[in-house]
Amino acid sequence: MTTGDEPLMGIPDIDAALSPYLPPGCLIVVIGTPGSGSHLLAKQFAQAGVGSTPVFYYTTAERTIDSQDAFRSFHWDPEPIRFGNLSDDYYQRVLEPQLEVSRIRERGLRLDDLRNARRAEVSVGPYSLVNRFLNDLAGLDAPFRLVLDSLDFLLELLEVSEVVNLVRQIRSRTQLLGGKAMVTVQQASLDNKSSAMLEDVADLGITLRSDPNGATFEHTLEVRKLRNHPERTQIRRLTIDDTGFHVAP
Amino acid sequence: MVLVAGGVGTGKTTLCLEFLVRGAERGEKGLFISVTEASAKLMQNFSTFEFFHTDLVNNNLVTIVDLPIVYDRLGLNREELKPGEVDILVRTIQDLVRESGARRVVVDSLTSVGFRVRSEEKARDFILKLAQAFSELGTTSLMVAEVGAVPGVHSLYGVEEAIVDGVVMLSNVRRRGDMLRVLQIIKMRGTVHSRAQYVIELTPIGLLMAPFLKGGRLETA
Repeated sequence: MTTGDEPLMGIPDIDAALSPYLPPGCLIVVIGTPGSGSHLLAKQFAQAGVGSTPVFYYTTAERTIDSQDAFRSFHWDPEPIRFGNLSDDYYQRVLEPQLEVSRIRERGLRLDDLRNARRAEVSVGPYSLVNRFLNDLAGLDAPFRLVLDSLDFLLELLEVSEVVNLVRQIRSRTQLLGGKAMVTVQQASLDNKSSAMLEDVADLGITLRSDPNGATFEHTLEVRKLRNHPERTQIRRLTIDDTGFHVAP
Repeated sequence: MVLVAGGVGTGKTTLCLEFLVRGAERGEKGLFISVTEASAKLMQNFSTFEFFHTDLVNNNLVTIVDLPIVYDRLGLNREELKPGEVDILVRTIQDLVRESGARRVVVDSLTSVGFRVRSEEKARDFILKLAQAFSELGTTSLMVAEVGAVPGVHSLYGVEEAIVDGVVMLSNVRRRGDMLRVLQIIKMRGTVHSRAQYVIELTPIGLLMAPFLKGGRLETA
C-alpha cells in the first residue's frame, strides 16, 4: 500500500516543490528532446516508488535486460520492479510471424507446414498492443506506480487518438486506485495538437530539454503544467551523476 | 469442376467425402480442403462411415487440409482478403494440390471462403481463378456451396453455376411427415443426363440413391 508520502520523482527539490499540489492519483506526461534523459527520468520515477507501492515499468524503447542494467548503473535495484516490454511483445507476436509469413509466401506452403498444426494454434485475429497493455492495467487493484516509456513506438503504430485514449485509461486507473503514472514521449513524435491533447490529460506536464552550452549540454526540466496550480510552473536546471538527476545548485 | 449446392444437413460433405474415397480406391489421390470443420473433427465424423478408413489418410491417399491454418501460415488472418491475397491463396491451393498428387479435390465450402473475400466481385474473381487452377492441374473437383431453399438458386454469387462444369443440387424435402434428402443434377457440361430428382440415403456403406417416386403431398423444407 502507498504511504502517501513516497517521493514523486526521486529528485528531492522537485518533489518538495510539486508533491503537495498533486492529487493521490496522478498522471505525469514527460515530453523530451533527444538526449534530454526522458528514459532516465522514467527510471528514476520508477525507483522512487520502490518500497511504497508495486512498481510496473513498461518499455517500448529498449530490451528489458538493458533497462535493468541501466537501473543498476545508477545504483537502483531493478528486482522489485515488474517489467513489461511492449516492443518485444510486438516483435514476437507480429514481426516474427510476419517474417515467417514472408518466408512461406516466397517458397510456397507445403503440406508438411500443415500436417502437425491444429486449429487451436491458429492465432485469433490481429495482435493489439493496446489490449495487451490495458489487460495488465485492468488487473491492477491497489495503489501502484507505473511507467510507460515511451509513447513514441505506439504513435508509430496507432492513431494519435488511440494513444491519447490509452493515456486517459492510465490516468483513470491512477485516480481510481491512487496510483502514480508517468508516460514519456519525444517532442518530435508530436504535432501541436497531439501535444496539447496529452498535456490536457496530464496532471503534471514536464518538458525535458538538452541544449548545447559551450562544450557541454545543459539539461533543464520545465514544469509546464501543474493542474490547478499555474503559479507552480517553473524551469529548473538539472545535473546528472551516478545516482540520477538532481537540481543544479 | 462441379458445384455441390444445398442447404444445411443435405449431405454435401458426405457426398464429397465418398467422392474422394471412391477415387482413392481407384488409385486417384484426393485432397479435402476444409474451411468450416477442423480436420480432427472431420476425421471423427468420417469414422462413422464404413467406407472410410483412416488408413486412407495415413497413407496420404486422402489428404485433409484445414484452410484456416493455411490462412494463418500465409498471414491472411484479416477478416477481409485483399485482391493480391486472393492470388496468393489460389496459388497456394494449386501448390498443395500439386504436392499431394491429388486427382480429386473438394473445397468445403466455397461459401465460407467467399465470406473472407467479402465483395461479390472478388468472390467471382476467386472462383474463376480457382477453376482455372484446377483445370490446369487436370483435377476433378467438387466445390461445396451453401445455398438456401430458394427454387432455381444454386449459388451465392450468381457466377459459380456459369463457371463450373456441373451443378449437383441437394435439398431436403418433406413428405408425409418424413424429411427426405433429394439429389438432382442441374447441369453436367458435355453429358446427357437425367434432371430427375433422386432420393438419397446416407448409409454407413455409402450414399444410396433411388428414384424419387411421385405421389403424396410435397413440401420443400
